[in-house]
Amino acid sequence: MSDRKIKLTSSEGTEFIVDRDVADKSIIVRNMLEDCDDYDAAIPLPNVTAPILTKVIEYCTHHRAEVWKSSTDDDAAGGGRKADDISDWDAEFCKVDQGTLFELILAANYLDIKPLLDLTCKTVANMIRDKTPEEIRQTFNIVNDFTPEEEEQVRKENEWVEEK
Amino acid sequence: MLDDSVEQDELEEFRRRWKQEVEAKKFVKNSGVQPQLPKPKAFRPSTTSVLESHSAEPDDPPKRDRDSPVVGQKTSLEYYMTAIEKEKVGNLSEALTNYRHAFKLDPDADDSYRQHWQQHIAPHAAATSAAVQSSSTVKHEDDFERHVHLGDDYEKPNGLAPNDTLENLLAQLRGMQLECTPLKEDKPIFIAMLPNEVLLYLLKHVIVDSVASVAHFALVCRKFLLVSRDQTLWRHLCEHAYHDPKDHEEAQIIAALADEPEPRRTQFDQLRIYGGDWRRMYIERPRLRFEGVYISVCHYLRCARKLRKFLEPAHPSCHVCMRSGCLHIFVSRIPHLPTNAIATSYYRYLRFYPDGTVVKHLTTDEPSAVVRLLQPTLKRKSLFTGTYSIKDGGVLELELLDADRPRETFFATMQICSTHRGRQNKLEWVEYCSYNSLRESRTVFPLKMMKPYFFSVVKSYRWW
Repeated sequence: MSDRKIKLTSSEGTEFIVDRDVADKSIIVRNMLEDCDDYDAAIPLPNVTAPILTKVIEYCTHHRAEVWKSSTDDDAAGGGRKADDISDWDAEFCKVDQGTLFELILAANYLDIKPLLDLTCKTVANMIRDKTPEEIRQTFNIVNDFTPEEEEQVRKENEWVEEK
Repeated sequence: MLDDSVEQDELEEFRRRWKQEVEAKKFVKNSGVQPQLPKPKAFRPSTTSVLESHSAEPDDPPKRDRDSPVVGQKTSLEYYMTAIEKEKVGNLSEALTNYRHAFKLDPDADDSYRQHWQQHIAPHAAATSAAVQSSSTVKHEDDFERHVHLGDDYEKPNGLAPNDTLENLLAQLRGMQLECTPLKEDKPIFIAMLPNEVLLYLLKHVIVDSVASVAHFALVCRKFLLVSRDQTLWRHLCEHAYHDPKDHEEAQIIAALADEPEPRRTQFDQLRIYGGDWRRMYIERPRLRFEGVYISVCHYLRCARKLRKFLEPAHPSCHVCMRSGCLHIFVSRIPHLPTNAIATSYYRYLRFYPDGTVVKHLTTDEPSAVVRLLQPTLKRKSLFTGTYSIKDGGVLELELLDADRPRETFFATMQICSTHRGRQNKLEWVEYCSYNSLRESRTVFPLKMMKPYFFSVVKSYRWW
């Protein structure tokens, strides 16, 4: 099985040829392949651009030997893992510009590759954690659209959390 | 054992006289009041029963060679009590000598005293203390041992009143099509590409680590505020925060087989109490916090003539502070105390783990030296390990073992409380007792020396 090659097409129509075990890391692709075993044509992935698909394939190839548990409720976000226990390779993999990082989140979500979704979400979680609201605004380029009164209300209501 | 009764009488007589002496001295020394002796009477039954319990032990050394006259032969308990008296007045070397005698005669002298205290002195002291307070303005010697809580007063009312205006704002926002506006208009907002469900998935990674970060996130803009209020996010948090190791399927089956009279409330039963609001449940329902340590500080004052002499040449003024080992010693003049007093501080530490285990440590070492080491594998004196469970209403029950005292199991009951400083950060003592499997006896400890625990975040502790 693993010697079989799978063709994937990005949104631009660029064709990628990968090994079956690498393609299987995406639950959506795996399901498609299981449904029609002798499917030979390229699988179109209209939501994923070529540069992002390149990154996704890089990730899946690196982790091809790992057995990923199928996602269960137990395995939901944060379960058993903390946002900072990221391996060196994974951390290096995520050193990309913000645009690419969020595109990767979207691709991982669409292709249903949970470990990649968790990794990219953790990376963004680390960009949010322990920051002030103003720092978060600066990080993500967002305008504060609260009126001063509204902001005060929200701040006051959240006071319970600001303790050490 | 034949001449037990004779011996008993002798002993009782001796005890009575000895006690009178001690009491008399105490009164003269502290108040200048003529020795009036209401107490010895009250002590009398106690001495008898303790000695009985002693004679019940077949190989009690002081018993066997008891052919000498009454005076000059003390039991371990008497040595122990003398030691306590000496220690109280600061005569440490004599105290030590008496403790040594006591333990020589009975290796479990402390246990015996505790039982004696439990059965006789404690109820008596409770009864007299009220009388002393009302009848006399003169301080009793016991009053030296008072607690000084140096921290802030946390006990302010919590201002978490329902915020109607915020609810109005949220309702208003829910009806709006909210979009983020870029700070720099020529640059995109990448995070806004994420659909809400993906943004929530991302926030689930944030919230279990740092609820405060989600509060900051909510303050970024209107859209983020609304996202941060999503029930699925808080449900996720609640499921981690109120995760009970006993909720596992296996444990529930065992409970069902054992026909537990009161089935455990499920998460959803609990949710009903909080109006179906997961966020409110997280804020209001008592829970334990794992991202730090609960510390109870006890400041203990006792008079110290010897120490005073030792310190005075160098520090004639008051409020001298020196360090001896890890023990803080403050010497200060407190008007109503007859001599100078030393305050020693000691700490009780509690660290909880999500798997239902707990570690407790009693030491004079300060938090900075302890928190980073505190874990069940730490090998130290007075390190207890055990398990905990939380009952309805935030009642916390601990069962603890000290590796050095394998016969003794300790049971602590505490109430999880909130303070104005924050939520669920105080543990108030309800009961503390121990069970000795060898003696098959239960000892209830007085809560006088038990200060509440307050929570401090420790960055290096992990949630899970």
